[in-house]
Amino acid sequence: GKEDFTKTIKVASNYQEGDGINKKALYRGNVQISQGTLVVKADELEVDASQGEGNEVFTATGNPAEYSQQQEDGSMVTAKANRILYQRNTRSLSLDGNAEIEQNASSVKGNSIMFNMELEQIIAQGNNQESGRVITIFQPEAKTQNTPKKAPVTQDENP
Amino acid sequence: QEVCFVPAPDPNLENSLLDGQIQVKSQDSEINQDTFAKFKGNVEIDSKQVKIKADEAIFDRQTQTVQATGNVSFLDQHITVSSEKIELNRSSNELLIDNSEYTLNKVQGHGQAEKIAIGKQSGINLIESSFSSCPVDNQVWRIQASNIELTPNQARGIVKHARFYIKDVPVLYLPYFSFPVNDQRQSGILYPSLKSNSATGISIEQPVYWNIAPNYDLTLSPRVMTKRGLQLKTEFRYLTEQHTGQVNLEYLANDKELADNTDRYFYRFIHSGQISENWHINADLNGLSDDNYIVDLGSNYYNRADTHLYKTLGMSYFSEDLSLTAQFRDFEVLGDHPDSYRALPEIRLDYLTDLPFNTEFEIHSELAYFESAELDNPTATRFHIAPTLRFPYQNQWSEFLAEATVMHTHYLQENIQNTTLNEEVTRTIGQAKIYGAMAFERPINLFGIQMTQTLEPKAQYLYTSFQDQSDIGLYDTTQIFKNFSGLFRGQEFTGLDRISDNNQITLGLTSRIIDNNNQEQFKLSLGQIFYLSDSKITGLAQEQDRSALAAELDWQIGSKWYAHTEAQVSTSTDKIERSSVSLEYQLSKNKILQINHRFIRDLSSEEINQVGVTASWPLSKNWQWVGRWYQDTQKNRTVETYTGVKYESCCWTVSLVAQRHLSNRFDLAGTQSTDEFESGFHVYFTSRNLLRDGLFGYRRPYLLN
Amino acid sequence: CGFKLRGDFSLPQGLQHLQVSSSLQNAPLQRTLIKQLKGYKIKVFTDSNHTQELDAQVFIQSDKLDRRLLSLFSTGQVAEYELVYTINYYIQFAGKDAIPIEFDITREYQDDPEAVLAKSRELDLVLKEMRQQAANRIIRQLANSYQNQQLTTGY
Repeated sequence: GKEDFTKTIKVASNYQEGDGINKKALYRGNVQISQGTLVVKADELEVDASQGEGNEVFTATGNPAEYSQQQEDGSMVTAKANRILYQRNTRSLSLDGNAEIEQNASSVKGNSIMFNMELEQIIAQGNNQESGRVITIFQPEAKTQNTPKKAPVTQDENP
Repeated sequence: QEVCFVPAPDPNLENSLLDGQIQVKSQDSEINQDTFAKFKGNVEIDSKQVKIKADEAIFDRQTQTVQATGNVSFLDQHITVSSEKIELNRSSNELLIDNSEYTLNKVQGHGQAEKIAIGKQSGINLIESSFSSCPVDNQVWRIQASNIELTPNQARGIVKHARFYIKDVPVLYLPYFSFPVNDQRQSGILYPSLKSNSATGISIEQPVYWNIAPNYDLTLSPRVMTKRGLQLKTEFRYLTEQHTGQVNLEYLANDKELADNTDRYFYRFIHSGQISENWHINADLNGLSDDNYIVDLGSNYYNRADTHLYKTLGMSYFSEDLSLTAQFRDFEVLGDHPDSYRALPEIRLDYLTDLPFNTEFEIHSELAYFESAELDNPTATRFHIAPTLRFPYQNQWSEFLAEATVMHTHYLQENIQNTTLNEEVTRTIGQAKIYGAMAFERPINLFGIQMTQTLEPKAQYLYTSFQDQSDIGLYDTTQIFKNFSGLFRGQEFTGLDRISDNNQITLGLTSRIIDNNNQEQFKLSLGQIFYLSDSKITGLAQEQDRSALAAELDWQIGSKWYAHTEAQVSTSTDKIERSSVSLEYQLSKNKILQINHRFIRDLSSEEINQVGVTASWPLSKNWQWVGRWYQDTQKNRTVETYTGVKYESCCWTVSLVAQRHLSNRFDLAGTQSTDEFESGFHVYFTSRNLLRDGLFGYRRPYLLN
Repeated sequence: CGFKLRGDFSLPQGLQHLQVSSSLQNAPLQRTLIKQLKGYKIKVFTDSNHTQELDAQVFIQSDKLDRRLLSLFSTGQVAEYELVYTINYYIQFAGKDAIPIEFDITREYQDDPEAVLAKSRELDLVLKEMRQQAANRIIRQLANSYQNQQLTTGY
């Protein structure tokens, strides 16, 4: 949920290498970042803290690198891509290289996907060749589907 | 026949998707709060049954709607639509498409529609739309309608407020009608039929079909005739689990053509039903206002040459070895004939059971009461019982049957003054029959092809005892129509009031030539009855000791020629008593030439000698000609000439027919003139098999199987 | 002259258990066919509530009687009719799809307005004979298609 972003970030890996001058760190070998319910697993992680506390940029690569986090309504969001870039200040993930993200009601696949965790907004860009297209799948409307999350508009019961 | 319409193959939809799941392919996609989604760049939306393509699409899970815009195409099994905007409501599963072009996939039909609503239960609903089944480049006719409904698994589509255009000229307005949907060739709207003949003048009939419920329907066909006035034909049909039937009512108020312009009507009620597992009921009741109704106004159910209409009501019970039928059998006889007898009722009970040593025991029994409207005709109650013991045997190469029957009949006859009949008569007659048949075959070589020829001799000895029956009236009995198939029947009369005494041997021989996939190419049958003693039953004059030699030949000569002949030759006078020959040349289904000849030396004291020619030939890709000419060579006059041309294209057809034939109208005295002719010119818009049209129609002349 | 007794008049051995059903239960043609099949010592069921493994099924969809004019008297009244008895039915062998078959049986017949009741009795008699001929024909076609089916599939 939202309070994850207030939590400290812990990183674990087999091997770690720091570069104090330009404030970069490199982790390698089943790397795991966790911040509250936010978890990223990857083979390699590069952390760029040069912009100071709170603006770090985490670049995790793997085949694939995986992300998962619990939403406000308790449902899980999971994603995977060859490269997952987590910008802490904008609370956004950008997934590149057969990226895939799955939420409760929909899942998106494409070359590159931008997930703004603050606005809960997924933007996927593809290209016109058949291989480059974005594929979105909506799950069947479960009849007992209750109110959607944080709907700005008034509650609307299913007909 | 050019190929007009090929039903579209089922679109290869993403059937890997689950029910209700939707997959969207696009160049860009944006989803907010897992609820609102926008797609751009040749968007393809797929579900299990539907495929939609568009430039852009918006999903709103909150209102459960999907909107696609920008050269949109919608495709499912039934319909393909292209338009600018589509809206799908996922909860009610209803789709709305604005001003679109559509093509039906399973039925030949396309057009434009201001609005199309497609729902799972409600089916396809075209609002303010046009419809035509003609190819797009030559739209001969179209319909503009405020509403066309095609509901799933309904055999008919419904059209409301339809304006019918031919080449942009409005021709007809119909508030309501329906058309068959599953008729792929052509969505055959019930077209009007246009006729003009000497009996009705010019007549136009426009059937209107009302599909009241899935198993009830009503067809109303008003028919305007210049010479006679307005006739209304109605047909109500019903079909339930156990019962099916139809009611026809036809009414013509004050017929201008008749001197006293009386009203004329025809009614018909047919029903067949199953009350329980073994009990059936059936009804076939018909009636009409006067003898000339069918001759003057025509009928879809009776031929103008028919002699009577049925009035029967029946009930029957069937079980494994028992069958009981009870029937009221009455008739409406056309013309001035002595009123025929009626069976009110006629009850038959048949019981059959197997006995040891595979013999069979059967009881056939009847109880009937006969009366007739002719007041001085005798009436009778008849009880008949005929136990039979039968020993049937068959194996690969032979058949054998030995049968013994006792026929006991008891009559109670009334109203018999000044006749030779007795009030009470009992008749007991014994009958014995032995029948044997064998089957031989040998391989033969015919024009170099290996075939099998069979030789099937048959023989039967029949003995029936004699009892004088002159004190019994004739109620349901008359001479039987004699031909080859009746040789072994051993019955000279129908019904039971006369049982002829026999002491005769019947010999028959059949030879077939069968090709190697078991199709008969040639079949010749000969048969004759040899009377060992004269039959004493009155009314059966028989000078010679043998019947006419009966012969029947069916022959397929090559692949295009067929021949069929039947003949009965009286061996004592060596004269042909009856013969029929027909020869047909058939190059293809629509290239046929058939010549036939019929001769009967004496049929109800008249000689029949008739030659007929029927031909059907294509004039061009779309035009087909059919001609028929029947000549009564005995009176040297033409009995029927018929010629018709039919134009058939992908979406419409017209048949133009001209015919002239002998009229069998009854005059006021109820007798028929012998030299009155009728001629007529007809235009039909529905597709009609001209070969079977007209008085004599057409049939392939032979029956090899 | 080379003739010998025919070999295959009756039904082949493989057809011992048949089911004969029709759209109208207990219809006359169905009863005639069942009676003739009994002559071949074959076990016949009329509906599907049995557990027996069937060799073949025959379903009679429709049998219609039609009339066509053959010749006229001088008054234009009909002299001879042709009765056309059209049968539509299906043969289905175990594990195969159903084969639709249609054939006609025809008989010549003559009406007589002076004795309509008697002639309707004759029509019943002729129809009964046509049904027997039709049942015989169905049995022969059953045997034929069984042989063809054996040839094609070979087991």
